[in-house]
Amino acid sequence: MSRVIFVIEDEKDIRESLAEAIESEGYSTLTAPNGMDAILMFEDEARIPEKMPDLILLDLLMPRMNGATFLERARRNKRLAKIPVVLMTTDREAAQKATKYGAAGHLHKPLGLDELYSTIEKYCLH
Amino acid sequence: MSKPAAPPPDRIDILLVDDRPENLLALEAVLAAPGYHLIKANSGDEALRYLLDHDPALILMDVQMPELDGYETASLIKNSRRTREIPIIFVTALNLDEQYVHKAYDHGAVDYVYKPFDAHILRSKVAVFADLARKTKRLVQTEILLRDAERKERERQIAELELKNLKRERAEQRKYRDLVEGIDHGVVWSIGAETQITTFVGPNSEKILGFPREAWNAEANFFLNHLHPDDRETFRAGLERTAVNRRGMEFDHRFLLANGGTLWLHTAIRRAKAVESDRPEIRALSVDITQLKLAEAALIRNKARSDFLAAASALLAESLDTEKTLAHFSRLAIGRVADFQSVDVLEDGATVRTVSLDASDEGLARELRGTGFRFPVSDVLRTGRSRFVPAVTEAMLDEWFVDGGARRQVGELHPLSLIVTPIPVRGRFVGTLTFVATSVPYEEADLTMAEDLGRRAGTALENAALYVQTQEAVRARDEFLSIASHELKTPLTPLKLQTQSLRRALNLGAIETPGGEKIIRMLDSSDRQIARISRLIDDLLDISRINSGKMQLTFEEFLLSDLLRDTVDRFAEEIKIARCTVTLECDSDIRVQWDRFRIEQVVVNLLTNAIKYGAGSGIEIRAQESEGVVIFSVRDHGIGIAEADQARVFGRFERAVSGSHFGGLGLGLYIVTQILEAHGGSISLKSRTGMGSTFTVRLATRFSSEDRTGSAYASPLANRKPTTSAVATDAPLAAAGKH
Repeated sequence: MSRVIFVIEDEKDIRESLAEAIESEGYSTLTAPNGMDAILMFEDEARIPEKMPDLILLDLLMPRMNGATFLERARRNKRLAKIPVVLMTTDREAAQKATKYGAAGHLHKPLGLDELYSTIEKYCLH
Repeated sequence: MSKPAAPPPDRIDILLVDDRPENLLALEAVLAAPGYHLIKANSGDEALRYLLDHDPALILMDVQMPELDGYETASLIKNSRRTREIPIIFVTALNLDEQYVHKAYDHGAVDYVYKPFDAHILRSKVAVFADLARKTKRLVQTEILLRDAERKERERQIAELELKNLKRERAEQRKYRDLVEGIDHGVVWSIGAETQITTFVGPNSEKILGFPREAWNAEANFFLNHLHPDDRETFRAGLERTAVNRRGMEFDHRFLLANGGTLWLHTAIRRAKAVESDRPEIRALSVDITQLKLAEAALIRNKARSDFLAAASALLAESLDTEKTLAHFSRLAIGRVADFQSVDVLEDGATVRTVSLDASDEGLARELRGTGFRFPVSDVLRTGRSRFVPAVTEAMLDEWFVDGGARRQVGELHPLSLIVTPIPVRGRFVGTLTFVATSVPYEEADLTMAEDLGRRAGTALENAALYVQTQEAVRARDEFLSIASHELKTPLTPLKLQTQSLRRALNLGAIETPGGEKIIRMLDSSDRQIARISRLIDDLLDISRINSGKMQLTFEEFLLSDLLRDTVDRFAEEIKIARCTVTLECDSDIRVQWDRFRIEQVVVNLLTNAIKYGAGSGIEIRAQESEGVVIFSVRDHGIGIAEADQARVFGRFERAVSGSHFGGLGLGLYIVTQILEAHGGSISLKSRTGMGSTFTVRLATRFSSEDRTGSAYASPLANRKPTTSAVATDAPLAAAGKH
């Protein structure tokens, strides 16, 4: 049974590239263009996906609801609370930000395939 | 026997003694001569009687006489002290028996003449004694004369000396009088120590104090009564002490002149005995020291002025918080150069606002601050010329303060002197400094000081404005960089993912295409360029972080060998392309607690520099630990760095090699230095042109604020939390040459 990776990213090109790269390795993906859409998918019973994600790749700066707020909301949601989140940021201080917002890991944009796959492997095994 | 009263000088008295008158006559006949005075005595007894009050030069005496014979008479003559020296010649008819001769000599005879005597021999013998007597007499007279002359000379000398003394004494008295009367800047006076009644006043009293000498006699304690009230008690106490004390005293005090003015005097007083009455009196010399006091006061004011100028200048130069600085400035002026000080500035080119106001009377200052009280400054603002009023009059205040409340307030301030000076900023007048004195009037020097301060205040205001602008500009730049780097990276992310996906697909043979090899090389190149652009963007963002003090450190424990090996592996491709070989020597058990990501950045920077400048040669990376300090170095054998450029390479935007040949922004080593300093570490460079470069990093295995105090690892982060840190904002200014 394939793992499900939830990509929350406002830039369409990035979101689609990521999803494509992830799927090409045999994973399934869910996507959302911002934090608000993402959280609503799990707060609205009618919209809850069939399969729960194993890992969330979260952009930090997004319109409507940014990554930080999403993390806060996710922590209070019983379905999302236990899913590891990897924060994707454009700067070198991704690590600090991840720690600050309570994410499990971080990726530094622009990210390469190797980092992407090793990060997914690392967190999906848990 | 005759008795001559006053024998003439040189007359020789000869006493002839014989019991027979015929013998006496014979002797007289023989000896009669002009120089001889012959005295006859008929017996020894008569001779002796004669000798009681006469001193003959010679005695001729018969030996054989009744009653007292010649020998007995001679013995008696010789017994008398007065007559002992008179020579005696015996005249005798006795035999020539030697025994008689001896007896005669024993009785004091000097010679013998036998009867009948030879007249010639007798005359000769007498002549010898007469001559002797005459000479003796002369000698005695000469001696008397000499003594007399000597005495007279001495008396003359004494008289002369006394005259001289008298003259000198008189000269001294005159000199002293001249001196006392000649002190034209002082008055000599004396009073009875008990009576306080004036006993003497020098002639200068009227000239200096305006009081004639008679005024002093009109009242007891005249001098004391005319002292300045503030000095009177001290002086009175001094007089009382001097009256009972041997030691004199001195005072600087003010004296109220006859014309109502005030004079500064230096008065020295001491106790003495009055010459006339022998009563104790106090003598004094009061010297006019007004000029001295004025000079002293001027000196003190000058010092106060220059001290204030120095303190105010330092204050205006050091702080950029204008409002606080100006408030402090006003407070600083109070008591030093002003009794009221305000700073007023023009806002929006129209309204005047009081920025700071202070006064000696703090209560009044508080009241004035609340009511918008202000001396007129608009003329000064308009013209840029200072207003200097040495003596403020009531009429001026009426004119300046039309409002009743303000007029009352300024009345409470009692302004004596006023200076309003403009604050110029680039040829415009943006405000004024107002100084008011209430006790000592301002002089030209105060105006000069005020104007100088106005200019300095202008510079301070300008600097503060520039600083605010600069800070705003820096903040805007950092924000821009932050947004720009995010925006620049956003398109890079899908580009990188797609490039890599494409390459992967080609590698897996998913896309069968002619020239596939070439496409793979192109994709590899794209990938490297994306990585390079990405690093440049990161560097820009880091610089902005360092500048704004926002660089955060996250400490984690890891093995240094892992980090070094991973990094070298990651750059295998670049190393290969640059035809370099990398040797890595690292103890496998160096466990460190650093910000892994940031230290990796350091290693990447040093390694990429080595690859860039040492292309085609070997690169050696060495790391070792000793007593908690890690030393690791990256060495290349490339072009090297000239000594003159070595310190510079650690600065911002600096490269050892100019031009675009090697690319890059020249930020790498600067960021490296900042990261290492934030960790409490350092970096140094050893290089020679053409001989390659060695960069050596020194870093404690653990970042700890405690054990870095005073050590070689002093950094701007000392005393901060060891887990999270930020690079201080001022670090970049000192970065170059710190290795």
